[in-house]
Amino acid sequence: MKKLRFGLQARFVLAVAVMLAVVLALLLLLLHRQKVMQQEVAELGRDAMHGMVEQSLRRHGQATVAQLSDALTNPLYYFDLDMVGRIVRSAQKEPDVSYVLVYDPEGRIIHDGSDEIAVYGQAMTDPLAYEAIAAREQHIQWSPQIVDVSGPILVGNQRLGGVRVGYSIASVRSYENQAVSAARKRLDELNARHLFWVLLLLLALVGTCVAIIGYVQRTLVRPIRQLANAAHAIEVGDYNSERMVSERQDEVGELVGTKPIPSMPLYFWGDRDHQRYLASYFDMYPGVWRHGDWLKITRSGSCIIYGRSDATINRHGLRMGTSELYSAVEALPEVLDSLVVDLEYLGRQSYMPLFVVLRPGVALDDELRSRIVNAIKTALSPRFVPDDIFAVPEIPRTLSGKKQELPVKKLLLGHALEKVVNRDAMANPASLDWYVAFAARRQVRSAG
Amino acid sequence: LRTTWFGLALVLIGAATTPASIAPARAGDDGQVLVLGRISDDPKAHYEQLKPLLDYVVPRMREVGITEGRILMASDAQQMTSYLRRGRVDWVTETAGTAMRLQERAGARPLLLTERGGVSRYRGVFFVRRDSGLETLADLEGRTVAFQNTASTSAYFAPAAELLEAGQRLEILLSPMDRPALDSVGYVFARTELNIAVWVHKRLVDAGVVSSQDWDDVRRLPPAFRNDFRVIHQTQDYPRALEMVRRDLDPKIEARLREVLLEAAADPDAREALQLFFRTTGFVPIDRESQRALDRLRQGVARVREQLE
Repeated sequence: MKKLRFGLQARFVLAVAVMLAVVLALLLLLLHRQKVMQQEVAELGRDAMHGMVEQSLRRHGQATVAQLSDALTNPLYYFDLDMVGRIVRSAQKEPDVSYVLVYDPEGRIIHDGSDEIAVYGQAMTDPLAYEAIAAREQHIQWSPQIVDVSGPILVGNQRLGGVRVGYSIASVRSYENQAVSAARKRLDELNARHLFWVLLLLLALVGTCVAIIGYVQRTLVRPIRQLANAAHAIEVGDYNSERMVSERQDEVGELVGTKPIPSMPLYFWGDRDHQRYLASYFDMYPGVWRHGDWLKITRSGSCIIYGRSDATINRHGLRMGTSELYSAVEALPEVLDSLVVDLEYLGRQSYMPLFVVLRPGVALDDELRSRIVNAIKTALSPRFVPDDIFAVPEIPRTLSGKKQELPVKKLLLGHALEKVVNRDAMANPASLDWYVAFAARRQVRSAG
Repeated sequence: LRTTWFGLALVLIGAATTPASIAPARAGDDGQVLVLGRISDDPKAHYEQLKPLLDYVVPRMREVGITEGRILMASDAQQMTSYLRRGRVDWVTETAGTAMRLQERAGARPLLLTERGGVSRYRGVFFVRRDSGLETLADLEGRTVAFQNTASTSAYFAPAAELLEAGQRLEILLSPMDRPALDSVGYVFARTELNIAVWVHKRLVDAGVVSSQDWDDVRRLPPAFRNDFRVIHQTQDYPRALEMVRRDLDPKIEARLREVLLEAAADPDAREALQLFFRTTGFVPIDRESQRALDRLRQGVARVREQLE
């Protein structure tokens, strides 16, 4: 089973997931707060409605009882129970009225609106009766179920009796509840619509995140992983694994001519069998003209030349093959062999070290240094005087005896040894050790 | 001169704007208009009940010179008496008791008996609570009776007359709670049949009188009450209602009106108008028996008026 790794992709997915979760949590919190607020608004509305309903009930009750007292006076005076019954029944038809009672001054029921008046002559004994009977003017009483409004029926100062109207609080409450639940239903509908949009937004957010994940996966994670896999394949010696192909142009590379161009040299002077010519231009990539310059083609199509990619020395714009320098230096009897590299590179200070192999017993002292420098100044130009001269045990050479200038140059520019040279193709692979150590020292120095 | 003209103009304007009910047509003068009268406490409703029959009758009386019909309502019997005396009303429809009163006071003459709801005769029914222990009219001495109102034939004139005939003294009470002297029957007016029933049922009064029609009508006398009641006496039968004409109405017109009304019951065109006309189902000539009943009633009414009012 493949071991699960907490890799770049996993981290990225986790980060996005955390972000999504946070956004989701915030949204939920927001929705929750909104819901709570709506509930509070509904409660407030209910309270307001409650107060309003109570007040309206009170006003309505008082007006009704006043009107009833007035209308009942004459019929009650003549004891016209038929008319009293009609008036009571019509009052009972009013909404929320649960009872209408007409009673005599002693609180005995005269009429309750029924045809038979079964309770005729009975004393009212309900909890609200005492105050209603005793009241000499309009009187309102609240019980948990009933609002009782009572009023006396008078002719002049003579009290004929009174009338009580009971309003059912439950039925009023049910109107209230209906209104509140209707309001709540509307709010819920609003919420549902709101939720739809929130979900849509959330979906858009998730979609965006997935797209970002996909994009990052494609453009960052996969190439990095491919590179890692390729590196791993090479590490385990699998050179046949898939080659990485970069579409990018903006890298520094060798300037080569795949087609002939004007002013290309046809051959070197005196190079009868074109050996030097072929070695100079066609040695690196057989069949392709290697111009020997580091080049970058920018996105806009312009080109930047970074410096020499071959062993050619380019000091302050003057170019020269290394062989002239070797001729001058190796003419000295103390010098057996030599190697020069120009570490010129765009953006860096040019550095040209000269490595010499001295005759045994000879030390590289200042006198010898100045003689070497003088020899170069005399034979060539002061511009080609090296920055440093080092005595080395050996100059690395190919099996065919050619000085390994380019590998050394690359080595000193920071490339890894195994990338710059194939040791099997060398005559003296051990000679590289000194340069590897030298490169390491240089890197430490420059880094320090 | 100018003042005179101005005065005349005012009089003309006044005459033009005076409502018809205040300045009714003098039916007797022009002979062209037939005026139907009715004692009413609700002219608006009663107008609609009278108009269709009048509209049916008038075109059929062209041969006797009637070309127009009008309705005139009076608030009580007194006013109607006055209308009849002055010839403002030609024809009145009334219950028997009031009709007899109009005959006595204004000389109005019965034209036809009126059958309402298929009933041409009815009577007064005395009832008490079953548990009252009262059995006969005589038991009512020292007790109270509820009549309907002073215009009611079956629930006032007739029963009061029979009580008087039976030798009872009648004494009007201040209210149903009031009590009469021990040697007389106290009476009160209850306005409606339902009040009479309630008062008897709730023991406010000892007895009540309603018409035999109302006694059988569950809307006027709820069964819940009636089950607790017992009938102790019924008056003689009286005609349900009467069509009356004023004493000096042209005999030709009177004869034609009688003719038209007698035919109306059989005429499909009149059916709806009759139904609206207090649920009238027909008119019948006054037979001898009815005449006797009317005479008796007239005497009773006179006696009641004399002794009680």
